[in-house]
Amino acid sequence: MTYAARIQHLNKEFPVGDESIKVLHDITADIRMGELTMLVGPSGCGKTTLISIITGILSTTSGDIDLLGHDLIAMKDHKKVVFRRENLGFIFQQYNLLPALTAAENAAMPLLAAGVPNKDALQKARIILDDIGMKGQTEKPPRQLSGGQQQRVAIARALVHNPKLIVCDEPTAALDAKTGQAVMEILREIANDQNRAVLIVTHDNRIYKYADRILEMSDGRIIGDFKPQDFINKEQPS
Amino acid sequence: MLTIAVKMLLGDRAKYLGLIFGVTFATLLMAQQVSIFVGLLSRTASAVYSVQEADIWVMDQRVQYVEEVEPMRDIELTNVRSVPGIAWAVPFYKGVSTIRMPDGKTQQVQLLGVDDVSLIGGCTKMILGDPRAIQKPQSAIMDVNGFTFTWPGKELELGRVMELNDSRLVLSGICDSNPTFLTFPIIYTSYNTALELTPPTRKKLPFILVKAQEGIAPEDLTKRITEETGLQALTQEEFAWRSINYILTRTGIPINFGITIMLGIIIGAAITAQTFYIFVVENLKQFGAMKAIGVTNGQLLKMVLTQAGIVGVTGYGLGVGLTAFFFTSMEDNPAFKGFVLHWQVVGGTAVVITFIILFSILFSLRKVFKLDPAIVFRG
Repeated sequence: MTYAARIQHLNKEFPVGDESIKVLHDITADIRMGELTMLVGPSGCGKTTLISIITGILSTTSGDIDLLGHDLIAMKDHKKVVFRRENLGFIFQQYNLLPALTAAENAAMPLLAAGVPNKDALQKARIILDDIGMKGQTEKPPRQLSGGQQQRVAIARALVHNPKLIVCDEPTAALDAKTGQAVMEILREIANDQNRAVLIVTHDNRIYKYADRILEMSDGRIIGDFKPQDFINKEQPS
Repeated sequence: MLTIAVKMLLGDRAKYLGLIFGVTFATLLMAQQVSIFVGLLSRTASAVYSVQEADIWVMDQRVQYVEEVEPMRDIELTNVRSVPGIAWAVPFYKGVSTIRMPDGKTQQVQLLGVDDVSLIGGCTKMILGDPRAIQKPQSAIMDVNGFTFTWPGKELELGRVMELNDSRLVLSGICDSNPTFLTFPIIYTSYNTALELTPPTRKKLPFILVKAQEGIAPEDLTKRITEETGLQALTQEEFAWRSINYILTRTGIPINFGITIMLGIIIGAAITAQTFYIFVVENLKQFGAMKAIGVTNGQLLKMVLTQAGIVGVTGYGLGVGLTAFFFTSMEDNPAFKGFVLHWQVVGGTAVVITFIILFSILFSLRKVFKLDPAIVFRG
């Protein structure tokens, strides 16, 4: 078993005035390669803070994180930016596509940021877009695409540079049930690759069935590590 | 990434045009107003520079600039001529009078009376007539702009009769002269005719024009003239600059122009800075997403600088182009004669616009640099 991320005794506090608020308490968890892991829990339980820390966007107060074999805590900020660019893919709830760019240009963004020539980056982005059902839509700007299509562009952007860990924040929250299922089918397939891990933060109980594992959070703590069916049964007692 | 920056900028057409408008407006206002101000100062000096033959202007100690006349006694001409080192010294009349046309209309004019024999200080670029015509009694030469101003729509012609202080004056020549600070028509007569035309006073001599002998420095000669006559003697350059400095320090003109230019800078900077800021704020999530996926602050800086560069070059180019068009289209207008877009103004405006652009992106960049990429995870 190889790990995308191993988190040990992670704590996070935010200063508020003269005091500080502790939002993560002694988190210990792992994200495994070849798995689709979901992080679930009520709003304000610390899910967003946790994925921000795992992806090197936020710093920790204490604890250790091994991310893809690298000590994230010891990594300098500018190295974290480059590390994210090379190894992580992001899918956001609101897509965050640039409205002035075409689908292909949006999807090519990580490659362009890494200095890949425009032509090569766009070519690769078009291939990925075609693979996830966006054939014929690659030159359209986001405003001409449906919500589901925009999320596919965001998925292509997360995959284009072949990252090892893909982090998704509520990827189906803005989509209808059918479109959400289609997006989850794609993410499920990505997670089947043994050299990749997918971590999804979600509230959407319709997509729990796509997970390999579900980590439940409450009040800044991980309170359970479930198989999807167990978690679904727990949530919907007969 | 720079292509992305350009597409981001051009993609929001309304803001792009707003930014261009801000820079164009600031450039146009600055370049046009500074050019007109410089033109006004040049006009002030042109009354001095127009008399190319004279090295030195001699006048009463109280005279502060070329349009101010404090007449001297006639004997001062002889006194000045007696100073060693002078090649020649001639009288030069300068004053403002009113002419009356046969139909009763009146018009203020600048009356210049030049030495009857040498005609030093007279107009030489004749359009109609002969410069020596003013040696005849009751004869005058008028500048062409003055003619079209006095008789609008009329063909240039000689022989027109005017009345100046109840004395008859016949137009015997039309010339092309350099525009001066006062925009009244210029009438050239002989020095003696000018004295006959103006009311009799004890002191009549406004200026004495002097040429230094070969080998004598005009600067040294001015000191000698002052020592020996007690009069104020200035080289052509000194008098021209004294006249410019008078306008700069003793009139409200620089303040008025300064206010207009400052308004151009402030409004241009405000429009540009605000639009840039709104542009960044509205794209904050997108910038956050870029930072999250690994776009560095350095790359974002290059992107914003590229956008600012495009806005700056386009807006500045349009502004300078419009200013050039303005001056070109006004070329034949007598009121704008001598007003041109100097390369120094073009260069200076470019520097100020660069500062405006840098100022404009300063706050936006700060916002982008300080942006926490975790913003993208907050619904």
